[in-house]
Amino acid sequence: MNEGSIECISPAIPAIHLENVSLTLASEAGRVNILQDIHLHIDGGETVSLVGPSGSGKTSLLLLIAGLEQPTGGRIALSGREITRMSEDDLALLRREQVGIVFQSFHLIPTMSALENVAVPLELSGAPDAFARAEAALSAVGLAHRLSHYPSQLSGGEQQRVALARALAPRPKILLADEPTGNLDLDTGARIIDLMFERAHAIGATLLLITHDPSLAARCRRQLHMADGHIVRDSARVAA
Amino acid sequence: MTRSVLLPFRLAARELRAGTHGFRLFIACLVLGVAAIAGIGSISAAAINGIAANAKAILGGDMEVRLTHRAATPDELAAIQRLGQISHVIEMRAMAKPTSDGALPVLVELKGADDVYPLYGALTLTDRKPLAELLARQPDGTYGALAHRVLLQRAGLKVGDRVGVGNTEFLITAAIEREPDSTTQVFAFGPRLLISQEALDATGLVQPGSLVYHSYRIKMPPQADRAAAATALNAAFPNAGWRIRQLEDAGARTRNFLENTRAYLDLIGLSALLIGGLGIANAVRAHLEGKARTIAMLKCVGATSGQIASVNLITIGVMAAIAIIIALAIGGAAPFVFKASLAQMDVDLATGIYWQPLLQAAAFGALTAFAFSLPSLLRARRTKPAQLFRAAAVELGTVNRKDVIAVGAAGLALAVVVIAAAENKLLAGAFALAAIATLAAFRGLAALIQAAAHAGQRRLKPGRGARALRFALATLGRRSAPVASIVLSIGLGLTVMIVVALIQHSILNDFARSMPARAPSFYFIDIQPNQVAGLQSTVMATPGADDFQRVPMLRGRIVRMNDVPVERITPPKDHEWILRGDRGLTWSAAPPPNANVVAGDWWPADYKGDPLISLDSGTAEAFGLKIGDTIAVNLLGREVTGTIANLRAVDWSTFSINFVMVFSPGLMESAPQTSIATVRVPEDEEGALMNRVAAQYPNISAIRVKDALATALDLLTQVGGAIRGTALATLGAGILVLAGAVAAGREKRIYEAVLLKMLGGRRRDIALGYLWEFALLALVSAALAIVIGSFGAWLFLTLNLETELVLAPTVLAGVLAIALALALVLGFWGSWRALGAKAAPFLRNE
Repeated sequence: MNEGSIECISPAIPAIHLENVSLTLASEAGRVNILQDIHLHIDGGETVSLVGPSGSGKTSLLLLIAGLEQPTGGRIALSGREITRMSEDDLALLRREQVGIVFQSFHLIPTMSALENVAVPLELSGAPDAFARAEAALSAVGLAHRLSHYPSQLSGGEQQRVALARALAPRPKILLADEPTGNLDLDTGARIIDLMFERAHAIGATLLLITHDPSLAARCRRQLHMADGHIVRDSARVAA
Repeated sequence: MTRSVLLPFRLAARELRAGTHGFRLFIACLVLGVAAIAGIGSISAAAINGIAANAKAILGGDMEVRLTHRAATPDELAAIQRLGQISHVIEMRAMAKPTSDGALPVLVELKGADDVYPLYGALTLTDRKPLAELLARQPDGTYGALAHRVLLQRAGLKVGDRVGVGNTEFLITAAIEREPDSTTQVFAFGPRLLISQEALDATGLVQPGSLVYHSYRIKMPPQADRAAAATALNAAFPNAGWRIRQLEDAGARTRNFLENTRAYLDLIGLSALLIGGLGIANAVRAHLEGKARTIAMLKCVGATSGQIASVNLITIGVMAAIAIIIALAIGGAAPFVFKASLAQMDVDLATGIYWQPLLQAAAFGALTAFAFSLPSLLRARRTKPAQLFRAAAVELGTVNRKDVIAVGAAGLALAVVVIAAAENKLLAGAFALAAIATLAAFRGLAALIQAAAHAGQRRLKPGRGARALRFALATLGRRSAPVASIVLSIGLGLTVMIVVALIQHSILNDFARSMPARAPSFYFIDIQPNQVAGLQSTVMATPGADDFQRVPMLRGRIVRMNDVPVERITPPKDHEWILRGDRGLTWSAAPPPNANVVAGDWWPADYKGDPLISLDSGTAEAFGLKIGDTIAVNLLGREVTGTIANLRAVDWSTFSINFVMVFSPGLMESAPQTSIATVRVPEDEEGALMNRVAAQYPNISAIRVKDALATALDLLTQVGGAIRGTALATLGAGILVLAGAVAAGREKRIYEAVLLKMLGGRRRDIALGYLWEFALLALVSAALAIVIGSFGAWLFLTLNLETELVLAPTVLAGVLAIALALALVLGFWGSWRALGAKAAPFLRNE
């Protein structure tokens, strides 16, 4: 498949499917219901924004989808594979193949160069051409000239572009982004978002994005509004 | 496949690009412990190899036939001579009396050498003239003699002075620097005086029953079968009662001594390594906590727990390898560094690289690094990647039951390797148990301090004076406070120091005070039957003389136990000496005055039957002998078999006359014999008594117990120096760990100090708080170290040496002072910056 082409997604199998999902966490004050009765169906290639006030459960929902948190109830499937009962290591393998994550704080590995940071997920999945693909991914985000730079030698915008290249280099089916512009100035943030939409579209990835920015949320074809652990509004349902 | 196997190595290599930064404490702790063990092992191996390399010179030949009391018969001599060139050496103890006025006689190890002595090696003398010339009869009728430099020192003599031995006077023609056939002088009762055999005859000291050793050293053709020659000699003369020593037996006593000393030094080295293990654990935890975000990130992009563990294990393994290589280089160089200083003690080191002790030290180091890194390694693989989304700080995962089992298994593996590698498994096992118990005790103390500090600061009434104490208690009570690290590092190092110091102090105290108080003043040996009455009246005429004891004595070798030849008996290590040489034997109709018969009955006073034996109960237990069993002894070429009639518990520490075996009278009474006697006299009469006995009975040797104790004390002091030096390594390890723990908390302290200052705290208040904090930790840790260390020393002294523990206030006060000084110096070193830190930069960064 060529860089920039759109992958065919079978509409019959949703990219993300959550059924009656709940999450309860223990705290010193007792058990706290974080998410309740979540039903969600996102098709392949969709762009979805997740908005809501702090503490509404956005990040928890993202963590469940990324397989970084286990739900207390319900089932979750990614590309038709149920992940609810998978072991931690199986979930890690699944993330290698299917999920890319972009964080607010970039989370680059400080001891590795930009190229090595991007190559890590490819190396983990055993790709023989990990460095060539990492170099291509960095070129695609305009950082071909920064391959050997360490995170501390890069600006915030450049670091986030490296993080984006890292998330997209393995061609994930799902791209999860947690306030990707939260630590960037407006101009840089806007450029990163353009790049993210462009690259996600190029590889046909489903994009699920947490943001507090209404204009950014509006760029997504579908918006999910959360409050008190529930999805209180889904633009797809409203449209329907 | 290869790609995925190599991936953890590639990722670890990227981690390691940062160099050893952050691992300096880890490396220092590991280097210290491993270098100590490697150094001790290398020096010990070099010393034992030195003995092996010089075996021919030390033995004096390729084989030695040694007889007690008598020379070889013409037939025996002819048989020995057929094996090769022989050198006949006669040794005995004697008194040498300097001819100068007022000088006291000195006990010497007299050696009568023949013309061909030494067959191997060379005498190192202060004069290069031929040996025959130096020992020859002088124009004035005296004989030439060579005195060991120790004798010259001890008796205040110099070359050219004269000494009287027996009926003859000797001119000291040169000093002996080194004797090829003597590994070290430290085991000898007296220093060497070397004379010719003609001169020895002239002394008149060799009389029937005298304790004289005749050694026939044989230089054999290179192709000769030594073992077959020894077998043939024994077969030809089954009742000769000689002891044939091969090259493998050369320096056996020194070798045993070195091995025993090494066993104890090894354990102290291991203590240093274990204390360093705490530093390793702290360093690895700090490193992995710093990497927690990266670990979480790697998990987010698909790394499995196994891959995370592999990367971290490889990183730490490389650091451990660097530390171990440095340590082995230091330890391996030890024989070269200490060669000259050990040569002063007559220990010849065969310098070289000894791989076995180095590999053993490396294995201990690798296992220690692994066992102490494991808890953090296991926590790292359980790091929750979800923290990247939520928490400001990413923490390592928690430990579960499987992890606890894994850490326990690693600790057990370390203990098993230590015990398996040790010569003395019981000692190593006891050490492992003691190490675990001590570690647990200090860990418990740390928890107790934290709980008490937490409760205490709440109850403390607010007030000006209590402010600093409250601050200290609040710091100590915090969950993240490094109380455990500080308590363990101070406590464990001090515990080892206390054990070593108290054992040494108690032994020295026993030697210097207790033993002389209960021991006789003199041993007189080689008393001829016709001199007994005269000697007794001479001795008892001394003002204050008391408790004169005399028993007849013969020396003989045990040749069989219950009809099993001793060659086929493997004795316990600490009872090998009973079979190794010949033993002093006595006989008595009545039980000796100090006898404590614990099993069986003493024979009737008029018993005239077959020989019966009263045996030391410790020996009986060691060899599994019981009443009714038999022991055969070769006495002057004749085999005598006795039946064990009773067992006696012997307290060897009294220094009074005691024998492993006491025979029933009868058979032995007719043998050529001498007596041994003891007496107690006031200290200021000892010199005069020595002079009188030497003048009246030149053949009788007087061993002054005080001198014998001084010789033993010299040896103990030398060994004690090595042990104290090694124990310092444990304290060094403790200092490293303490410094590491304090340094690790430095940034947090600075931040706290800044906040306190912002809220109105004065520098003095903060400093007083630190003073309370470190002083409390030091004093409580030192107190527990004193309790555990004293208990450990008591256990060791009671079980191993049957010596009483003497608590030395100076030692204990010293320990408290060291603990306080260390904690305060290192504590303030770590906190000083906090006191002077400006608030603005820290708050601005917030």
